[in-house]
Amino acid sequence: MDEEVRIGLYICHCGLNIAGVISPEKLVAQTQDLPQVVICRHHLYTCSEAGQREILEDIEQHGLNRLVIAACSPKLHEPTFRRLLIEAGVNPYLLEMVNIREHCSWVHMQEPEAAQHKALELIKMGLARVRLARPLTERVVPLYRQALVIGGGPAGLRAALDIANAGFPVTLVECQPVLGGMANALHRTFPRGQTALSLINPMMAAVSLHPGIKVLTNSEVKEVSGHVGDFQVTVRQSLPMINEDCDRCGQCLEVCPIEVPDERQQGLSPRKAIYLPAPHAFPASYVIDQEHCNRCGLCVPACPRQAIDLAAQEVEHHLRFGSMVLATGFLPFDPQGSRYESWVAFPKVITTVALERLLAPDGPTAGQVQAPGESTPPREIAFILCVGSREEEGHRYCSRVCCPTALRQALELKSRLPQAHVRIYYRDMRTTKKDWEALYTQAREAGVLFIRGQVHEVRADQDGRVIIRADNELFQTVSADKVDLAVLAVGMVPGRGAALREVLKVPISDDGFFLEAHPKLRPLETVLDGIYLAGACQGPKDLSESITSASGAAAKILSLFAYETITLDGIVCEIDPEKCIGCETCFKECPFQAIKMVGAGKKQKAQVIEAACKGCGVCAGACPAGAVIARGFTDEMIMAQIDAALADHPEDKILAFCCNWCSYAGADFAGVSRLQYSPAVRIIRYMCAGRVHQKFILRALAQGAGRVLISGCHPPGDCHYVSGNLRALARIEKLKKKLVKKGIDPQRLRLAWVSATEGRNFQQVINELAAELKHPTEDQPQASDG
Amino acid sequence: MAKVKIIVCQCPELALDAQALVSWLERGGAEVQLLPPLCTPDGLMQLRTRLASQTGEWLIAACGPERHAGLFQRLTPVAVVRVVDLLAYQDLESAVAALTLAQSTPSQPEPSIAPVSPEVLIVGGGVGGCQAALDLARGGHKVYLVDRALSIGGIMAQLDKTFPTLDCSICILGPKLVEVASHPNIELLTYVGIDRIAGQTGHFVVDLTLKPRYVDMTKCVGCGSCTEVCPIIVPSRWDLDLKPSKCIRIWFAQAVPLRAAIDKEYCIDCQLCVKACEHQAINLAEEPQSRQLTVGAIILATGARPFDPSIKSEYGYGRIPTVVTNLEYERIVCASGPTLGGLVTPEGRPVQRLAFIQCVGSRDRRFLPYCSGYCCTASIKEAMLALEHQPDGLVFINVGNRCCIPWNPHCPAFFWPGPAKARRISRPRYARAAASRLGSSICSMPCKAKSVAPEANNLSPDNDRGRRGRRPGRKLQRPGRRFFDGAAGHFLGPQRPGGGGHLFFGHCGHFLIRGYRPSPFAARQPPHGPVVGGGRVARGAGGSPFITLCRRSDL
Repeated sequence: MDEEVRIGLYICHCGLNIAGVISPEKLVAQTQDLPQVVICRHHLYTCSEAGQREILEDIEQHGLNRLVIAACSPKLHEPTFRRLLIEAGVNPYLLEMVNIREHCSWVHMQEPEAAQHKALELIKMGLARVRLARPLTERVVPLYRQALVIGGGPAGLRAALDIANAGFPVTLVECQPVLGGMANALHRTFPRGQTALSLINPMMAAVSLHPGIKVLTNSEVKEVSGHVGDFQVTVRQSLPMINEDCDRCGQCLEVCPIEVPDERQQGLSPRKAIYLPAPHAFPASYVIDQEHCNRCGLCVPACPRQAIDLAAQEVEHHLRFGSMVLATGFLPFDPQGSRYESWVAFPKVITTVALERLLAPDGPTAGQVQAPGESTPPREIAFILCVGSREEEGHRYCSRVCCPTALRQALELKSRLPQAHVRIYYRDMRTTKKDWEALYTQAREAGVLFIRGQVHEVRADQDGRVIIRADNELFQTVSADKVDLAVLAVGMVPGRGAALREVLKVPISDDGFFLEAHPKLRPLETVLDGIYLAGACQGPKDLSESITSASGAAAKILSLFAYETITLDGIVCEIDPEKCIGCETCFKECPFQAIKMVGAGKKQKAQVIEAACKGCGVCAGACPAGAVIARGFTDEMIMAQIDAALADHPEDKILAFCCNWCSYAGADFAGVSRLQYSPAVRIIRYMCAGRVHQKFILRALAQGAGRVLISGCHPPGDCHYVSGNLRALARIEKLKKKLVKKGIDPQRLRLAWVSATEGRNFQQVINELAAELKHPTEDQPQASDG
Repeated sequence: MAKVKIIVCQCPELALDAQALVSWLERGGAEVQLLPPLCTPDGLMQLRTRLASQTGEWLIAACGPERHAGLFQRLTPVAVVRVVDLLAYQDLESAVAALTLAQSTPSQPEPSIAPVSPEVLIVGGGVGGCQAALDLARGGHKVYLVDRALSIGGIMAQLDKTFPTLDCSICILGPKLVEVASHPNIELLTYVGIDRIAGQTGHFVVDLTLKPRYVDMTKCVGCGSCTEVCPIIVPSRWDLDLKPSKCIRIWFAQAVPLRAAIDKEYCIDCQLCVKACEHQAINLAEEPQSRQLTVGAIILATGARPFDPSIKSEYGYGRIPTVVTNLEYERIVCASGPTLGGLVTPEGRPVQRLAFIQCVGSRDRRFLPYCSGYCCTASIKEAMLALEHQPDGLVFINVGNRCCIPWNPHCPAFFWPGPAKARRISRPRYARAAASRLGSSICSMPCKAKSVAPEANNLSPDNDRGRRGRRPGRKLQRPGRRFFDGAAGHFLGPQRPGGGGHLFFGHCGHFLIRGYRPSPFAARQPPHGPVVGGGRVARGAGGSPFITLCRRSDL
């Protein structure tokens, strides 16, 4: 490129977020005379309309062809400024975001001088990089306008219906034999007391009748590859042993010799190994519980329609989708195996889910409220809230539905058993939605007793009743009450879908739910384009919120499906045939089979298949000849950043290479969390840890870097490019041996895995490295997380 | 005409006795069949058999269309099946009357196919409206986004930071606003009033009034030279009257569109701005204009407004200058606010001791019978901001007797920066008591500095909505609390009110979509010092009374 480089540098105050620690004015004074910087300004909010307009005007007036924005994380506003460049007629890839907020002002709040100096160096690194940036073209690829919905609970049903009603084919995958999810276990819903059946069943029926929706029950998603617009998905389905000829006559039930507790009835009544999972759910046929069935074969001749075949079969479906919705839901907290285990050892202590079954007309007691093992209705009933929620260890979050659930159940008990005394032990009554507070008011009016305080102990009395010992916060006393039935209001824990994490590479948060891309602005999206979240797989939600989020996720997909193509970014790799020596290293290393070898013998060269390339740069990190051009993150750009970072006092610096998806995001998260760490660190971003070539490390060490950190996603499964992190691990191990031979202290090189939510881990790693730098003579323990 | 056959669904939700209904109808000579709930496999199978075996017209007495999700229409041609919403009737007489009437009315003709306008109107330009506009526009729909204010952005634009990430509010909202304004599929109409909405799903006609800004939007570049010369100083309403502004002004620094407007109420027609404007953009004689839009669907995203605490006179809001609302507090701590981010009282003194009072207006039968769901977390966030501004200050959060905040001895890690902890004053302190009175005697407290007491005031439905809800053609149900409500089936269609074609976003339907999603945040702290029942005296950690709200001697 012969064009003269003309850089516009803009430093953002971000209100006081940056300017509170760093002086943007001073940075402008320090940087405006740097080579090729044509214009240098600071602005209160660069991303505001006024800020953007100023940049547009400057581009026009001064003929700028490169832009450096020193502001927040590129994860936040890179798209904003790329759009701006497109508007100005400049290639959007000629932009560099210098992260002086999450990586500087927010994490060095107590060391403003060091932060100021670091910001200057970060800007110099950005300038070094942008000078070498080349325009890239985006790729337009076809979009498969079919959607996959994982999970057949209320959220999955709603999302599938919304997408299918707009005319796009949907496949719904459910791991259970029937649709409906947790809603099948519910009797009534809060706040208005409608039956769950009348709300959920019409959707279930509509989904199973919809010509545009294919339902795969008993199925699990086993493998996912591809990208937004073209996901290749493998679904494994275990075929039912009873075919659709079943007319639910129930004759098989009579002969089946196996009895197990019925999970739908929360174990309060037994069922056979051949059973109807939920009488009103779809698809409507008997199923055989493969785990408990002993293959005695008695049911086969008993079936008048010959619908039973005991040979278990599995099929694999290979499907293609443009987008998908995760609606894997939640499970109720199980007190077994927790600190509440001793409480539920008594049959008269049940959970709210079990009470829901006791209240249901199709429940184990046909709607009679009785404590298990009793024949008369309970006179004294107690609810204990916050079981499995807001714990100090374990489930720290509030599940939000337990308060209204308990209130509604208490009201129903009061109306069905007017003689009963109902008391509720609570910590805080969180009736946080519009109609919920009314439930509390009604419950008080109905005579429900509310006791604020922590329950310490639940034990059985000699006469078989339950004693509840609790603090009474109002009267500052400790109470011990005898009740006939104690109900634990259990919280919500992540459902079985969390196992999909490995398959999909969607991050999950500390509490085990899927992590949204941004808690406020992108609550329905994951960090992976084209994969959306609906319902309680993202966090505790009530039914209405689940349905709302499902409709929202469906709307997101519909706006994607409005077009036949999709534009993917221009970050892909390219191989220079001049330099390629045909060694096949990249061919073997590429995680996506995106490299093919052309020519034969000595003329053999590698070539990138662009449509398959994901731009991770693993090939570039491996190439011995430097023939791979990883667009957007070329060797030259990274070398220039290394040089700029280590120009001044390299021995005091920690040079950190962070992958875009996990480690850089983890550092951002440390910033958002205001976790303070040493300002000695300089971060270089690239797409994948597999991009790091040993020459980068050697260059950094040769320049005198105090410490070099290579960081990526946790192995083996977290890598967004299948195995880039493992490649990096192998290379670093090899290089460490080489360093010893060369007489370089291998302790100067460290490998650490940091995921997007591990801000604290990032802080710790940096502080450890900084401590090593300060006391180099002390014998530091070898890093154990490599 | 062939006799109409009636199928009654034995829905568990029926308020009336289905058996009695059947016998009543049979006595009237109708052919009636009672089937198990039609959305269960059994009911559906029987319904299918009936429909297949007997020709003729069918009347299905079940639930409304928002509930049955088009189920019956899938089974058979629409013309031969009509559905009567039985759940709408509470008593037998009216249900029988409705069914008899439906029986005797001639069957509907094949529904005519009417063209649907693909354009969408979004009312309200807060974060909910903007996100809806962007999602639709990206999907190729033409969107009209109207807002009655001079700029879009809504309440979120006024906030300093958002919980739980403490993201700078305008930094994450601003780019969205800019994108809305620059998107080719979005037409942004600010400073607009809606006069009338007519029509039905697929074809609404909307009459708008474009209120005069007295500044030509096409000529103004937002340079601000008019503001400099304007001699009239008025309180900035955007900064909640905490800051002076001019009579001609840009609504706020990050406003979209970034255009000036004149507040005619105060304008003295001095013409100074007309002379100062290089672009001849100012027209003091501008008249309101009307405009008509044709749209296929309407999204109401009119948001909420904070509860006005001056009605709770015991808290002295409006009387005591150091008592502010939490939205005012957001402006005070915001870098672009009246004090440029300095945490000072409206009189300009630094704040050393600060107290938050929760549940002002909320969960109060006299005012708002609901919990607003955001105030607790917002106050914790604001307390954190105070500690960021004034690391050695003292912050107290006074929570109601069964409110959300306290108890948890730890909070999510990101709220507690390490170094602050090292300096001993890491957290706000919580006290459980109902604040019964706030006297101006705050000044006579033993501490040297003044306190500011922001009140976590609660959201109540936006004013505008009352009027809009009564427009012809709307069937919006307005419960007592005047938030828009979803139609029957709170769960089935929380976004779908009765009128059809409407969707709800943001606060107007629920609190929790997008903007103010309360985070699953649980803060718990063992009470410092005694909390005496009845909310008489509350003491802080150091044993000193931190608020004089309840002591008779102070009143």
